Amino acid sequence: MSYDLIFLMALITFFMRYAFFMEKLPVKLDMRVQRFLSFTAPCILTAMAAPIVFGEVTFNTHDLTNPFLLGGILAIVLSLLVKNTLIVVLASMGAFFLLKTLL
Amino acid sequence: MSTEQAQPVRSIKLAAFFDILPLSIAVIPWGILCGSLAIQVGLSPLQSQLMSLLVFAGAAQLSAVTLTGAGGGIATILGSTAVISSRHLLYSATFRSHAMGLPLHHKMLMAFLLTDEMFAVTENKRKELGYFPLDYALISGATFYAIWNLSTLAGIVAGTSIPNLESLGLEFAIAATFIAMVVPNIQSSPVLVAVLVSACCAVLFHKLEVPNDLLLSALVGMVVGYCLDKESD
Repeated sequence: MSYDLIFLMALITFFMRYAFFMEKLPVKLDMRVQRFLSFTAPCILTAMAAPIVFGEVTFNTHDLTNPFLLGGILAIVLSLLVKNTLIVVLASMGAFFLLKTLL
Repeated sequence: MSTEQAQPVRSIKLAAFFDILPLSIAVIPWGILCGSLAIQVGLSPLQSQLMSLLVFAGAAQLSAVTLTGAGGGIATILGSTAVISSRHLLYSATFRSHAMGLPLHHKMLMAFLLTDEMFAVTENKRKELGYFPLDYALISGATFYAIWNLSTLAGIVAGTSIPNLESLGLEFAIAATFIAMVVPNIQSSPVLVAVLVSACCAVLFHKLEVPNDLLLSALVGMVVGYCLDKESD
């Protein structure tokens, strides 16, 4: 890999993050678009997490020993009960690695 | 919330640091993996670190490094970078109205630091406060940047000495973090349905190997959520 390639990658990622910050960009985001965009965070984060947790679900007894599924469900339940993100992340990761070793 | 708005600036800065901390911890194994893989496929230590310093995009970096290892060409690597990073266009659009009017250096810094994690915590904080907290965005982004680069450095130093780091199931850390961020913020039925639709689509598209499955499943959920939201007016 060359330095040029790294700089080009940097340009691409920066452009994706900066694109809509350009004042000159000829788009106006009215209230409807802003309401649509308010769904960005929950939907993208979910779309990243769901295949990791449910991607290998087989709907048979294998699911009972799938640490991703069990750990993911634990994370969902804990998130409903505990407000602290750090506790949820650490507890469900601990459970995940425990299950992975035991099962 | 009026009590939240009265929060002193310092506590917002501290909150930025502590809110992004669990997400930064979850990303450490990925940084190590990214650094050590880069060394393994033949990048120099400087190149490996520059990628984290300049590109600062975990998924894009990992895919570029993997493609390099597999002998992928420049076009393939840049194409995958563009596709993987395209979700950031949505983040940029979401924050557009808040970035307008900021000085150029603040806008550029904010864009440079705009990761999934920074976006998620800042958007949560913005909803909680009722206004866009620039300090919060920059501090949480910078904290994440520092930890990402330090963990890449650890991977570069460790080099090839971590066997099968990929097979440990590190992606679970990412999933747990995002679950912990999303679930407490589901406070209306349109958001709940949007999230469920995105989840189902993401699993289905992933199994069917639909190209650009991440962005597509998020967009389907967003459209459904938006339509339900309109109806409930």
